[in-house]
Amino acid sequence: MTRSRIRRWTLICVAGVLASGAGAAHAEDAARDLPPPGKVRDLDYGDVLFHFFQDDYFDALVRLEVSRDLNRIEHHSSEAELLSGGLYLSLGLHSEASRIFNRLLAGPVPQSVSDRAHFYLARIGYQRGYHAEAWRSLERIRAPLPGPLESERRLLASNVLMAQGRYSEAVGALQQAADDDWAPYARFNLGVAMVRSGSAEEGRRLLESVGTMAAQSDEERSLRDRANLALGFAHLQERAGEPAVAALSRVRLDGPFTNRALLGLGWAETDVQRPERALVPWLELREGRLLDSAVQESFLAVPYAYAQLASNGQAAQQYRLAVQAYAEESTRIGESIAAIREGGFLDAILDAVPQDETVGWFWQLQNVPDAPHTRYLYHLLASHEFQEGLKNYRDLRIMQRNLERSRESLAAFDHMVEAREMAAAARAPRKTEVLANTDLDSLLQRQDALTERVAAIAANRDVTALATDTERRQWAALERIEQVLAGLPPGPQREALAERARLLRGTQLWQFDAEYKVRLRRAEQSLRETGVALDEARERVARVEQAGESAPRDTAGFAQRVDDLAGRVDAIGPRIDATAAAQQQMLANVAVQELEAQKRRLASYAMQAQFALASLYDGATAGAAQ
Amino acid sequence: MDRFARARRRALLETLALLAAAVAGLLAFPVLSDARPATGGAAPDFALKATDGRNLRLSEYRGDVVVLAFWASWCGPCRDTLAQLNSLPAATGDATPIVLGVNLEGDETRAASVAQSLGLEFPILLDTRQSVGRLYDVERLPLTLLLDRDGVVRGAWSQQGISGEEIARQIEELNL
Amino acid sequence: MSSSIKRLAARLRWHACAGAMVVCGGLLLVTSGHAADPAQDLRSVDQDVQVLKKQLVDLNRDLFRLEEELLYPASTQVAVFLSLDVGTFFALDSVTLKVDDKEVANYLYTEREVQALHRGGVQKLFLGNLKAGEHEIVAFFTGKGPHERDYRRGTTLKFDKTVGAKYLELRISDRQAALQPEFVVRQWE
Repeated sequence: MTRSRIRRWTLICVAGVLASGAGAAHAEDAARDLPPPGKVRDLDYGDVLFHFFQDDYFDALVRLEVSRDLNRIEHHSSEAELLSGGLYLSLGLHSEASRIFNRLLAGPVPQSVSDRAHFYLARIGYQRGYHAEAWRSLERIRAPLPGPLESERRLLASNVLMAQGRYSEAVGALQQAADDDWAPYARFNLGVAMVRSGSAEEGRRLLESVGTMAAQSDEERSLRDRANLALGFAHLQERAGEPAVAALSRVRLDGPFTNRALLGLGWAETDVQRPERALVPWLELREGRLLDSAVQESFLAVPYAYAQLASNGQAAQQYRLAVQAYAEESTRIGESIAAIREGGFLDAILDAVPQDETVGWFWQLQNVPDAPHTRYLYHLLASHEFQEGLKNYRDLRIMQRNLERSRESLAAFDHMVEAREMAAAARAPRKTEVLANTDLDSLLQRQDALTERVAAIAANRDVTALATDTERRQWAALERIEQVLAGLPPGPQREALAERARLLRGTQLWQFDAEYKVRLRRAEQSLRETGVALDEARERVARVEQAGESAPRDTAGFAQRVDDLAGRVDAIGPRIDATAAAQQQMLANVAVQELEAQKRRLASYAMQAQFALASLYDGATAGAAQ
Repeated sequence: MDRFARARRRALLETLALLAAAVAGLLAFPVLSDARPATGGAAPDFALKATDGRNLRLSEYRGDVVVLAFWASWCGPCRDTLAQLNSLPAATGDATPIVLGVNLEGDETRAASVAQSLGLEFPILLDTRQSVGRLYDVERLPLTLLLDRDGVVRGAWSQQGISGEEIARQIEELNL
Repeated sequence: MSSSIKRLAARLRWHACAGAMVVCGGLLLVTSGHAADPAQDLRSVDQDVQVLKKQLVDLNRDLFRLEEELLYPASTQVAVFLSLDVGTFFALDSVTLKVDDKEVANYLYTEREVQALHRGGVQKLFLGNLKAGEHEIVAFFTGKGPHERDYRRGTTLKFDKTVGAKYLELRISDRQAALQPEFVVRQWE
């Protein structure tokens, strides 16, 4: 599966615009103006892109929303807005996307951004049927859009013009876009529209150009078939048999349009009075599955051809065959209707629908198993309403799974918050213990006192204050000696002793002085250290106290958030279920209606066959009577 | 150990488990899962190198039905299962699931040679660190898991080989 | 031929043409992208679905935030991102990341992921908690460059975890050394 095929899918829109199919295109476009690699300036935006480039649109959107909420993408704000709009669009949320684009436009944004916002708004408008609005948005685009977006703008413009019935302008627009990839598709659409609205010749010309184009891919071959089919029937309406044959003969014999082409071929041959040649395609067609309306008609067409060939016996036999076939098919339809009414229908269909969204998946449905509820899947899916409903239903199932995962995550968070609460409660007794043992105040007092003392010592140069114990003892001893000396009678002995005492004192003082600086520095240093330690202790105590208070608050905050989210999950669940049930009911109703319409048609065919039979018998009896 | 300490330890283990889940991919998978992904549970995501050198990630196969076959070269029934899975396309026709073989041995060459001798046409992933084996709590071989398009385990066959028909039947029955 | 059969023929033709035109016209309508006659019911279910989807997006967003705040509070949060900025295609194979000598990531890159990186996506390789202070990361990458050449490069970074969430970007770039992919590490607050 390649992305470019999904983009093409948007253009063909054969099976309707599936959310993810169209979405790939929308989201891709929104990201076209991205900074080149290496220029992402907000890592969280890069994270969004990482998921986006892998087509995880939901994941990308969630991350984008988170990052914008937390102001983590300040350097890429308008691109991020545009991207979020594109992502919402890809998820099918057109209203939200519109809101975003309009809000973007309300502010000052560079022109490249506003041009693209207008483009998306135009596309949304067109899809919802607000054509005039879409045109107005288109007119606000000032400059060519980047890259392939410009081509898509031209496609949108031509579609809007067609939708508004402005065919001649549409033709003009198409001429300008002749080289675009989507041009053949648009020509087809325009051709059909013009045939239906009365410009038949022009329309046929357009269809002819598409019907004879060179086709490289399956999608293109399909388109060519469709064009030839439409062209053939357009000719048939004008009773132009030969051109009809020419066109219808170009339809592939093994494609999704074969049956209708065969039917038309038969009519074309009849138109040019060649009923025997009409039988060829019709007989082949009749071998097909009766749930195809073309095949149903062939059951009437074949005997009609025989009747034209005056082969009344054959004709009668074939009409009887038709009646029988219709009755059988009607019974089968009845079974299907019953199965649908019993329920379980949608899930069976959903599971039968291939997940792969390449072109042609729609046609693969012709090979779906022939169970009562899936037999008519092909026809049902041709209805736009049914497709949209199916898409919704599928989305709802996905949402249910997402919700389930959310529920599980919340259970885990609940656990965690509880564990935190318990842990905090466990720490509480220890905390009070720590706080009790720390008599911070007295420590602080002592620190202050010491600081003052040291400051005083430094101020007064009180060298003795920093003395060691030994030194103090020595000083005290010296003082005692001096006192005793003072009491001694004067004499040479006293002089000698006094001299010695003076020397000792001098030495001590000298020592004190020498040591003073170092000791003062040391004292100041150690005061600083205790000061730091005290500060740390003070902080720790404060933190513990605060943690003691805030932890319950934080945890309470988390607990509240978990509760709120759980409440939301509980509210959303039943609504999803209810909406899914409503959608299922609706789809079942649509399916039943469609099938009943089929039954009625079969009944009407059967009646026509009966009338034709009666007419044949009348003719026979009349002929015999003559 | 008192109950608060137990609670603290439990909280720590849970935090680590959540961390692992967060690194592996957050909200995509049930966060507090039992080790063995039970039927109905999401299959844990992983990425491994295949024998052809490519790195393959399980979650990139979302949207397809996947058969995960754990095996080792010394396990006979495993090889039978692998051979059966090789012929699944015949059994399942249009609805062929993706088959991924996960080899739990450390020996790359042996795994590659077994794969070659069996002529296996699906990727063989090499779980050289047995990290995926642990993630899936593989205790006995063979172990074959059937995953639906959302990556949810819908069928599990343990300790026994399995035939292609059986898988096809399960796929059909479960409407996958 | 009897007139009733003629009438039948006419009616059949009308059916056939109408059938074909309905098919083609139906396709036209479908290409127009809106139902010709939107059922009221479909509209309202459609609206419900849109509302529910938005609620789900919001729910997932809030869950994501809660998870991040519970598991990785800003005070301890460290996130390591990986990006590519190479001139030629570089097939990144794996990246290993160690924080403080403990392996925290060993990622194998698939083709899809490598493409996403080349287009400018940035992978959130690791999200974890670290205490304030100095830490060291060691990262290695392996991969194939042009001409099938194998590369294996590493880098080390010491960084300081302070109070806010810490972002580290590992960029594999070939701008510095000509055409040789190397690690370039950036720190963001």
